[in-house]
Amino acid sequence: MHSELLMKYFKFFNFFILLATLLLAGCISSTNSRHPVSSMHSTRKLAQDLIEQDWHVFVRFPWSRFRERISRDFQPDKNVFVNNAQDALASAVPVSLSFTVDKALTNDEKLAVTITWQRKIADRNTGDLTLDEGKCTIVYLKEAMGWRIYQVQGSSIFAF
Amino acid sequence: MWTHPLLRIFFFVSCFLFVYLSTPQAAEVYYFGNASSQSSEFNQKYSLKERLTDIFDFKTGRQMAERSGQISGSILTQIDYAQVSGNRSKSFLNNGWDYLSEINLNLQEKLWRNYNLEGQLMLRKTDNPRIEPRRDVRVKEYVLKIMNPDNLFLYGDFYTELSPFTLSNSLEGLTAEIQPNESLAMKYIVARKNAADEAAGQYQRNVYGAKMDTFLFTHSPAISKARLGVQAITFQDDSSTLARTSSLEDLKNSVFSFDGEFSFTRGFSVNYEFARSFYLEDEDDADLKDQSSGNSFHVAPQVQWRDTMIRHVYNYTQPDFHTEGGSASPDKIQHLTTLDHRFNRQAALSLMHNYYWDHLAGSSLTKRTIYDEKTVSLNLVPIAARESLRTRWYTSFNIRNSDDQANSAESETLTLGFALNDQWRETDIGFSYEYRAFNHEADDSQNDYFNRFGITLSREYDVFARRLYLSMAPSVDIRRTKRDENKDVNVNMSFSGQYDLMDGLLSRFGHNLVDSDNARPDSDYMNNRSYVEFNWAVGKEKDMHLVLRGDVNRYMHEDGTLNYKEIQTVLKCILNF
Repeated sequence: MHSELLMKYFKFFNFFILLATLLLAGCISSTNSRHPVSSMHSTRKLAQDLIEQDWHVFVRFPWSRFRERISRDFQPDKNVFVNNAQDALASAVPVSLSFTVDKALTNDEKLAVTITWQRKIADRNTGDLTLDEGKCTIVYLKEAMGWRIYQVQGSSIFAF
Repeated sequence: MWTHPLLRIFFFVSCFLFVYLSTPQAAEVYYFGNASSQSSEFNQKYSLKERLTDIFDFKTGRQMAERSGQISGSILTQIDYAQVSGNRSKSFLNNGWDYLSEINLNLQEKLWRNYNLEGQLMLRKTDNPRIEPRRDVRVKEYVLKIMNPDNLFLYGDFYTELSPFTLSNSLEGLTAEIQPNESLAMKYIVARKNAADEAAGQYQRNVYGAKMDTFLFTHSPAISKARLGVQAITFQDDSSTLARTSSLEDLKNSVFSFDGEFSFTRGFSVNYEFARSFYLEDEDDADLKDQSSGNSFHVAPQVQWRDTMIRHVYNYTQPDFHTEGGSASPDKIQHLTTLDHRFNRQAALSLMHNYYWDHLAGSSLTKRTIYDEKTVSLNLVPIAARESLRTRWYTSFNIRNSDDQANSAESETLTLGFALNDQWRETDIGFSYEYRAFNHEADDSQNDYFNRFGITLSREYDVFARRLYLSMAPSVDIRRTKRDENKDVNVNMSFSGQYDLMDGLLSRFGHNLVDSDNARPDSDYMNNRSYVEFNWAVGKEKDMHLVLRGDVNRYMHEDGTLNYKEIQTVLKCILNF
């Protein structure tokens, strides 16, 4: 009973935040200002885009293209990482990935993105779906050709 | 705190060196910058009134160069509704409404001399268990830093590195990076890797570390970089952060290393690291009182001569080497050689040979496995007059061999393929083919052979004076095994587009199909996912975005009990200020 009541209050609170946001937006927009886009917001957006791109390349997996997305200095071993990804794709078909960016931290030329993810993969033999969940930190290194994966800590989205 | 005697010595030596080397400017380091920062531009002085006016000025849109401080950020509010029917155990979604609110705040403020303050905070509240297991307001990320071009003092969440073997991790706590002069740089860390978590079964893991780098020949015309570094890190579980139970491990791990980089302006460079680790899996376990220790060494010389680059990497890591915050592959010796050569603007070749093995002295493995991997890759522009036409040809051959009687790990993997990209009549075209053969010598039933084909097409159109972008990427993946004469055929078809409906109103749409025709009876399936999204940038300055998105996902299997359907609608409001 108490939990239902709490849920109602919680839902009301979220609607209130939405309304407040819209009102605030109205006030700010009417001032005709030039507001900078939040740096934290843009870092998180970049992190989200990079992971989506890398997942897309992984799913289609021309070997050379996925290899290109991994930094030459990948820690601890680029070849082991790429070979494991190739073996994973031989064992199952990735169907979908959804994730939420928890942290996106930058340091010099690195971007460390911590995500909580949910993934569906289909067994190659039976077609049955397996649902996995995990948390990992993907570290990107900024190189001349763009952002490249430098390290994957925790439960990797590229390993089944 | 500094549990290992060597760590204590290192800490005191680095503190002494810091005080000694920075004495002439000691006061300035903390309060007024230092000699090397004199050349940097100093902040002008602001009155308190000016500072308050600037920081709460959301109207004029002045850039940071024209003001003393600024608050910016974004607010996200999202409501989504999901409906799942069929076999719900195959879906992550739950029927009903979910809410998500996020606030990002950034603070910038000019301080004394050339010091600046930056703060960031991200809060999240949601009832969606896929995003957060708890429903209260969560501080997901926060940081407060004071810095100038030479020094940084930071409190909060940060990603930091000392060296590959010692530390490269996201931490929470305090760090200071100090550069007293151009020949010396230091870093100190007092933080935690994770908080105590009863559900995950872990104590709070504290992290203490320090690093010192010396830069030599800083003004030499022939040497671009000469760095000598020494660092130490310790990870220590704090068993007082949770009620003690026998199932929780009380870990202790310390790693010391020295490393360096040396590069001539042209021709040759080398980097190296030697590390020693001390590891105790569980301090509270009476049977595990012996601390293990191990060494790791890495060296990578590189020669560049005209359009040719050769690099060799040697790694040696003992089985007992353990690093909690860094990266290493224990029980391994590796030789990795790469050669890159550019013939001309049209052709570039890359060769790689990777040879490594395990089962070193002290290993717990029962047999040695040797890996021998070779790859060749050629980038070619076949027609000089048509630079948009680019091809890549590649092959790799991996051999795995084990020294046990049955040769149980012996296998060969061959991959070869090519990719082609071009632009024809404003359409971007891509085609790729890849063949992969895996042969397990001891067990034929594990063999499999893949043929993969992929096409990408994308083009922009002008429809009713608005931009329409369409992209399509079909691919087929055919797999053959020794277990079945039939083949598995997987077809993947993704289609997406974007159309600017009116000024500030974007539409996005897409469809993805996975159709699998498997060799095994009653195992075919099809997955269809479609979405459409409208993104409306509200206001003259487009500060606010209202996003409405609909998703439908349907999975159909020959075994009807596995079928399910998901419908999801999302309304999102993002405000940047």
